[in-house]
Amino acid sequence: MKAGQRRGQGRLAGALAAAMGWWGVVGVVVATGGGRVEAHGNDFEMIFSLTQQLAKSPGDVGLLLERAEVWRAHGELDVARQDLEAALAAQPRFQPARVRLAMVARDQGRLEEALKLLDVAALAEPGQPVIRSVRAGVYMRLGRPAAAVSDLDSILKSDVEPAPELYLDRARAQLALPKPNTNAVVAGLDQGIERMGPVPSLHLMALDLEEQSGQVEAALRRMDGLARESARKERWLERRGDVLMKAGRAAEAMKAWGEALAAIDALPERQRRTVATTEQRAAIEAKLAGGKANGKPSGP
Amino acid sequence: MAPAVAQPAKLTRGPYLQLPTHKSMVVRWRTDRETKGYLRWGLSPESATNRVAHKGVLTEHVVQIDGLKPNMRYYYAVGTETNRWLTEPGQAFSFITAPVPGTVQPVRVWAVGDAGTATTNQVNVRKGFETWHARQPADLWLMLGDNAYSTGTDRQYQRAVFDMYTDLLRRVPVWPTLGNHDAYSADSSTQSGVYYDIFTLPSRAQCGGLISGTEAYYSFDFANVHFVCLDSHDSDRAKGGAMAEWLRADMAGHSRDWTVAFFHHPPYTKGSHDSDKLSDSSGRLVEMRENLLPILEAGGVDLVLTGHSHSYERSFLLNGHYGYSTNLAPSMILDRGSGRIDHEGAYKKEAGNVPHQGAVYICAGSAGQVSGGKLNHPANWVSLNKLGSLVLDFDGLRLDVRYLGDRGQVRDYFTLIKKP
Repeated sequence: MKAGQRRGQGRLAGALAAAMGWWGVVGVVVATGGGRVEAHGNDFEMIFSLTQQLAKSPGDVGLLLERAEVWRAHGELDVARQDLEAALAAQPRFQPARVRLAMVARDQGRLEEALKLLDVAALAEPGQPVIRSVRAGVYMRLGRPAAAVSDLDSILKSDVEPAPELYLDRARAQLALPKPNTNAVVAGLDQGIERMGPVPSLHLMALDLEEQSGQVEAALRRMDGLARESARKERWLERRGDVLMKAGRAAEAMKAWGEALAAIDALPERQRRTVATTEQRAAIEAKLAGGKANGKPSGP
Repeated sequence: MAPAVAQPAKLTRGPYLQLPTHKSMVVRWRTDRETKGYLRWGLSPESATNRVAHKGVLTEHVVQIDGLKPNMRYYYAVGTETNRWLTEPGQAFSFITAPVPGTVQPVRVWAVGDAGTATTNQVNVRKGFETWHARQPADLWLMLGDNAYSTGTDRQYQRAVFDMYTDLLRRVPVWPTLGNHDAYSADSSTQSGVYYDIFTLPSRAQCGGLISGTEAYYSFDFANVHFVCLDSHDSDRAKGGAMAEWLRADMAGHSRDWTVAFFHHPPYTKGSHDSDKLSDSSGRLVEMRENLLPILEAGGVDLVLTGHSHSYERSFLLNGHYGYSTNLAPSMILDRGSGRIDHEGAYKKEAGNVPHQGAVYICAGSAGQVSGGKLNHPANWVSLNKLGSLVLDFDGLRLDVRYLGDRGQVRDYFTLIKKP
């Protein structure tokens, strides 16, 4: 959490529930029980302890939810389902149990059931990003990328702090649309970069898309920026050469590959003679030889 | 009837230290009711008169101090309003700023795995370290996940972290990773929940390293050591996933003498978890080993710290062991010795981040409990079903690692030396 940001202010269940999302809500339900969970660490001990506590407090939704999570973590989905259904029967409006039940259904391949549960939860708690994130995944598995994009868009427009994975998920969903708009996908990734900084995974996906769609200049600009910020430039220079060669700009490609070799030569000896670097050098030299064998390079 | 007098806010958590750099520190604390948070600091208790406050009225106070000098002890106090202080600046409320990145100087790191039981076991392991800490204080502190059992709730964090380590937290910055039990109350994709609320972590490379864009996994530099924290539980562990792409770039880009990685799920364990079982922890141990270890080793990692199994398991100097234990080939063990300088000699590597020169893997999920297991993974030089914590001492191109028991006794030790 960033300095000065207000999140998860208090210990009261209501405040936490409002501030932290489902996982926090789950925690609060357990925490307000006042240290009832005695087992530590070993999941089977936990299940044993939770079962004992449930015998004393049958229908306690917090305990049921917690035991279901332990079962779920161990792949015991049928048993987890039973606990979650019992929690929902006890408290039909307890959305954390509904979301967890949806996750179990998803993991069991019962995608339509998962979707129905998530729809109900999203209706009850429209601002909860975790519900939309889980539902987006279910939409993708159901082959409904537009709906996934919509859910992910809404998360990314909210004030949650998304991880890069959410931007990548949205990009993949956009690319799965019947007529994907590559420019819009790249723009979406660039939004993430603007928000979070130059995250490598976002740049790399954007770069792949720019290359695939023939946006050579955009790809080159992106690579130049990445090379400037990188301590090891040789891979970017090599890739620059690859892109240029593919675009038919052989002279520039040869120059870039030459610069990549020079960057390798400038490395300390211990880095220069590693297997990976040796292999890269050989690959670049082969490309240079291939370029020369093809005759006089063309291009500007 | 006399008018009601508002009760002053009380300190209920902290203060604790986050994001240490050579010129800044984040101080966090919690009060029992919403109030404006103030912090004053200085180079002596008497001169702790510089002031900073955060905006707004809150219970969760997060204040960053800027403009500090490297390697200096600062004294601080936190307060709720002007002229009302909840703590007094003194040795108990002081910290030393980080050195300028790259500086070569002794660095001590404490690491605890699966500590958060809030039991006498956890207290004893802490006390075992405190005797060492008194002789040479830790510069920073790593939590290897499962920091608060059983479900990582705020209340459980209060008991297992804030009430447990109150004094250390005031003086030593802590760096956590997410464990499976923490993840019951947290979500990495939206960075929400208790774990993410409690910790202020460097998603933007505020302390060195490369921008990850998330607090789930991150890197930072301290002196001549580069630390990498991975999220082995709740982030994509695929070879081409965001975490892997970031790690590849981060490892390629740094130039510190040492690289230490830490995450929760161990690649080599036969303790309360089994790294040979694909079903164990939904395959996380296998995925970390198969997908992330090759990147770490290609980046020249030296030491990998994990927890999850409630035991202590320490490997030989290894390279390239990404399969199951039955696939461990002799060529993957670069040094079959103990690594003990007074026994079979220290493990040796070349200086610099030379790929595939070997790393030592430690599972130390034993700072709050031990849970046994076969403890016979062939990649490990030693496996113990004993409580304890880790102390790492870096000094130039030498690293001494000790596994301290719950009475401060050294249960295992080894040395890594880099040849210039």
